Amino acid sequence: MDMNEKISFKKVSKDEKQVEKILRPSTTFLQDAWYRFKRNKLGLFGLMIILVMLLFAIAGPYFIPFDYITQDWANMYQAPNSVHWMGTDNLGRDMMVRMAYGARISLSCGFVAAVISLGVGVVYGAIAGYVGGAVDNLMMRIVDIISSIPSMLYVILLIMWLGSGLTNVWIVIGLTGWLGMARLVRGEVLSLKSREFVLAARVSNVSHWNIILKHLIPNAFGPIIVSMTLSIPSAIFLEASLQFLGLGISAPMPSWGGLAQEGISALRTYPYLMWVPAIFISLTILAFNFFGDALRDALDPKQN
Amino acid sequence: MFKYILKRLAMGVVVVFVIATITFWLSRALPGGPFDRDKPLNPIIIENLNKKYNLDRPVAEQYIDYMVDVAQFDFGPSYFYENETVNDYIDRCFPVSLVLGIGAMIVAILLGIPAGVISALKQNGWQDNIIKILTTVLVSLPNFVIASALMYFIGYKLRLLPVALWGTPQQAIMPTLALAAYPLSYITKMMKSSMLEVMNSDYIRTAKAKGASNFLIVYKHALKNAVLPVITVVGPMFAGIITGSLVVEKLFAIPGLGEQFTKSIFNRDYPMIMGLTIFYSILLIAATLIVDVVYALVDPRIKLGKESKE
Repeated sequence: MDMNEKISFKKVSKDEKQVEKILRPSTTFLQDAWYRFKRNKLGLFGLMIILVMLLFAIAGPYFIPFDYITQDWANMYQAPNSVHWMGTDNLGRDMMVRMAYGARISLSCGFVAAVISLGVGVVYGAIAGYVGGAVDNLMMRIVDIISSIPSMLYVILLIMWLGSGLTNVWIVIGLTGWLGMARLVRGEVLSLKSREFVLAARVSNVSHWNIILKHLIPNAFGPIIVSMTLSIPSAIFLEASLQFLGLGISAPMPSWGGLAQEGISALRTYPYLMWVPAIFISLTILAFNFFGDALRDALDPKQN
Repeated sequence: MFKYILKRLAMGVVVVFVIATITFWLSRALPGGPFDRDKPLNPIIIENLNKKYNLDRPVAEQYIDYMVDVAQFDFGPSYFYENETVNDYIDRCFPVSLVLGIGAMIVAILLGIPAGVISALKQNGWQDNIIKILTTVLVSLPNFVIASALMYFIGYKLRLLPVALWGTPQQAIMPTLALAAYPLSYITKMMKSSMLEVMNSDYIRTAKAKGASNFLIVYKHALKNAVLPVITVVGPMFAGIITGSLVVEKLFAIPGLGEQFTKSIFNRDYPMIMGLTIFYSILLIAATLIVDVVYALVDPRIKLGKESKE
């Protein structure tokens, strides 16, 4: 008996207790996502470009010793040089500072679109999906009708009605961005609402509104963030095309699309006037697309 | 099937009605009259013009008239070009845009399908990576950037192709390519995911188990089934081409509908803008309906009208 006890119930030393200890700290969902995101080189490249563009837009005008409006007729059509890093335009205005103001406009349009698609699209889609039935049918038919016309067309009509100006461009672009988000959230909510945790919440007398806000939407977090990120490049794209067609913000305030349009008329003689805005627009949209794709892989690893 | 088509047609009519209503009231709400010119016209002339175009009558009456006209595909006179109607312009300009659009679609399909297949077969290989990056880049370049890059390098530097106008096949090459970029990347992505799905299906595994060669599996078994879902992208692609043609036709000075549309924005020619918006919507709705029906005909697994029960 004594011997047996010695064999089976040995006193555990302190060292052996340590074996059971979980050494690796537990990671949250976001830490996990960041770990996956870091391995995606294109995504990191995108994030870097976005940060550089943001910095350029915010700080650029304070550091460039020119302003966007003063005309300098002695220095028209200067190719990029040590004074004017991106050259000057047909009225001798510094291109770099004009690009920085253009960056403010383009990026602000992108973020406004993202915020509206988050605010309007998520709520609209969640209500449609959660309530279901006739309400869902009606709400989704409305979305179908709006998306059956190319957004460019009604954006043009709306901007002509509202008049030019940055606020109106924000409104109009915001109106187009939320449709995809509404569809996505509706789909997610539709598949989530029949799950047991929703039933459990109902049983414990949680209000419908709280179920939507605290149970359903957080569960669709990944796709929502990805869709929000990817709505930014399309807004920048739309804004640039709108400016390119001569609608939107009025001169002398520069915008990337407007600068590109001015550049194209001088493409043969002063091609840099076209290349500078073209490269900025393309690089920014590309960066957001890479970043969004990387975010999708990071937040939604089940896809692969 | 017949019932489904009827239902969709009715739905389409409702959508066109809503769009026509919105554009009508928007155009009446737009600031400035249709006859505002840089040099103000004599008030008597404006009064006569208003009478000529029935603008002196109550707005509600004008609205009913306009809707009756639109129902007969009559979009009324242009306010900017005398003695010409919106329909004249559609008749003249639409064929040009149609040729351009169909050309772009053909280019997109011919390049996109093989690219998607390669991308799927060599998933995560270097070919796939290159195609993935290329499609993202193509999606990210606004079409005016692509168009002006083509103009600059091929037109001005190499002097291979004419940079503007319309008429000869050479003049069509650059605008077609510029317009094809977006649908091309769209088709490639679609084709890739569809091909991946088919390659993982049971009947392909069976074919492999029976010892069929890779070539035979891809061309005889997988491709036919994988191509089918790509038909559904024609709808969004169509919308992309319409939007793209606004910019591309303007750049290359092509006398198509898109260029006319941008001109009417500049001229504030409201009936033209309204008419073209409604015309584009009808085109788009018709295209989506045709695509859905064709898809159901070629793929018997699709049951029309049952999708709402999913």
